[in-house]
Amino acid sequence: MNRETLREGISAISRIMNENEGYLIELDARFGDGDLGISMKQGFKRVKEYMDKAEEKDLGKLLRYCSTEFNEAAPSTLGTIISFGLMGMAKYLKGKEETELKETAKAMQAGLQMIMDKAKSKPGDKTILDSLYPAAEALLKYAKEDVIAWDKAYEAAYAGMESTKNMKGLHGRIAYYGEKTIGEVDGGATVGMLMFKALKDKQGSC
Amino acid sequence: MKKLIFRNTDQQCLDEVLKGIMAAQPGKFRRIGSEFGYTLTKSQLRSDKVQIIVNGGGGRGPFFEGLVGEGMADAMVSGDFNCAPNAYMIYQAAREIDRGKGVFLLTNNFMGDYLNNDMAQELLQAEGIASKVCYVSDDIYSARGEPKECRGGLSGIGLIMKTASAAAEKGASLEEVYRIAEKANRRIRSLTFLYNNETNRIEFGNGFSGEKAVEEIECCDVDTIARKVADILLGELDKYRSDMIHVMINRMLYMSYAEGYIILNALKKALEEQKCRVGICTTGNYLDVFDYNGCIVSLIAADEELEKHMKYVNGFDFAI
Repeated sequence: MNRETLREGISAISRIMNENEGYLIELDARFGDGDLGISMKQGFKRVKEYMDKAEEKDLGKLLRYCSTEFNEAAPSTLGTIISFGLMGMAKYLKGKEETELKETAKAMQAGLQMIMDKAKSKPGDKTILDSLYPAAEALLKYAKEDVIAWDKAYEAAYAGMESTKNMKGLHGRIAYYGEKTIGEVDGGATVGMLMFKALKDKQGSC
Repeated sequence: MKKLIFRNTDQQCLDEVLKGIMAAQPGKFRRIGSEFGYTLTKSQLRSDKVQIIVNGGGGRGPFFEGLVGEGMADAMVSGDFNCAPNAYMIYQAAREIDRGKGVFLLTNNFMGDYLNNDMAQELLQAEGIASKVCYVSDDIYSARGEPKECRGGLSGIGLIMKTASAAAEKGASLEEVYRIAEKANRRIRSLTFLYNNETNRIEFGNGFSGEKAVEEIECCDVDTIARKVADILLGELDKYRSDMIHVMINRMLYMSYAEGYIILNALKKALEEQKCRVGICTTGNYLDVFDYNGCIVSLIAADEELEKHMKYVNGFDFAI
């Protein structure tokens, strides 16, 4: 990953969030307040705008700015969680201008660790972690086989998202609905799946 | 929740609330950030004290837009209606008002507020600005069966704010202000009750995101309700029962001024029947999150140390 591939990756994610805005709103309206689609669209749009102009090369600094830009445009709970993920990646990548895929995957894991620490949640709680966590693991596992690594990561993200159907919501407003959430896919996990779909489709040179 | 009828566009609302507040008290505030960053600070900041920033969702009464002033916060940051302010705004306000003694952040314990204040701290830490956060958790009906730290916050934050602010004004360090606020938070409890006009019953424990009542009773006289409220809250505060009990009653959107004082009077009596020493009692429209006739009752049990920081505070259009 370097500035250019990060820029392409963010741009692809921004596009996919635009395309899925309506679907995410509909998903979120079942147990939340329906702003998921809007905040994801706004958050990634802002980060894309920042990346389009950015001249910084240090991945740590770039991701740090991405984190605050994202947060400013999308201060919802999930938005802030994603900002923490970006901040965790930024800390890990401080001072680096280019990384191998293996390091990129480790940076993602550092970002996910920060989310888990801050939001006090873990995979299995019906959140975005259920798609992102297995995806980052798969990316690391297949990092040496560049070509299939992103496909494997996406498959893992998709399976992780599907697995949330069998889970009960514990965090945020969804917790109020408890058992009723079983059978429904989680909006956050869907966002995580879409992120990896976007990265795979652009043949993830990240 | 109620949509504002008298407004221009939804987008402009909160910006215009702040402009109105500034027009009512000229010269007292400074606005920082963009047009849609809802931050107010005092125009004159003391440089020899810890600065206090209170923050939370916007557009719901004096809490939080009206909380900047003498005996209150040095700055407030509000998010959109029912939304936490973003971390960057909190960070920006803190950086702007810090005078080297650190910044104390005060917010209610909701996921969005927690995450954004926590992230603001990360940003401040990177610049070497000291900060502490207290997450107020006074709502006894939230997170039932879980530890108090998991509960959400209601209007009790006003009492924590004046305690922290009084400590800071007397020169307490950031650590001390934080310790005192945390102590006050451990000793505060709030509950909601409201009138359901479809069933003619009084409901206890409704949440403002639509969480259903925990208990309901037939509509009855206020003395009976007040005794019940005193029982529940004192039950929660049992080990602090001999301390000075201060009372705050937040009228919901459709409770009248008169009803607020009728309840205040009944509650003071009910507490005295239980041999409590009752300190400051106030009622007002502090936090408008409920579209009902009902109220949020907060009790705080002040030990000797907290008692030193307990005094009436007059906001521009309310008293706590």
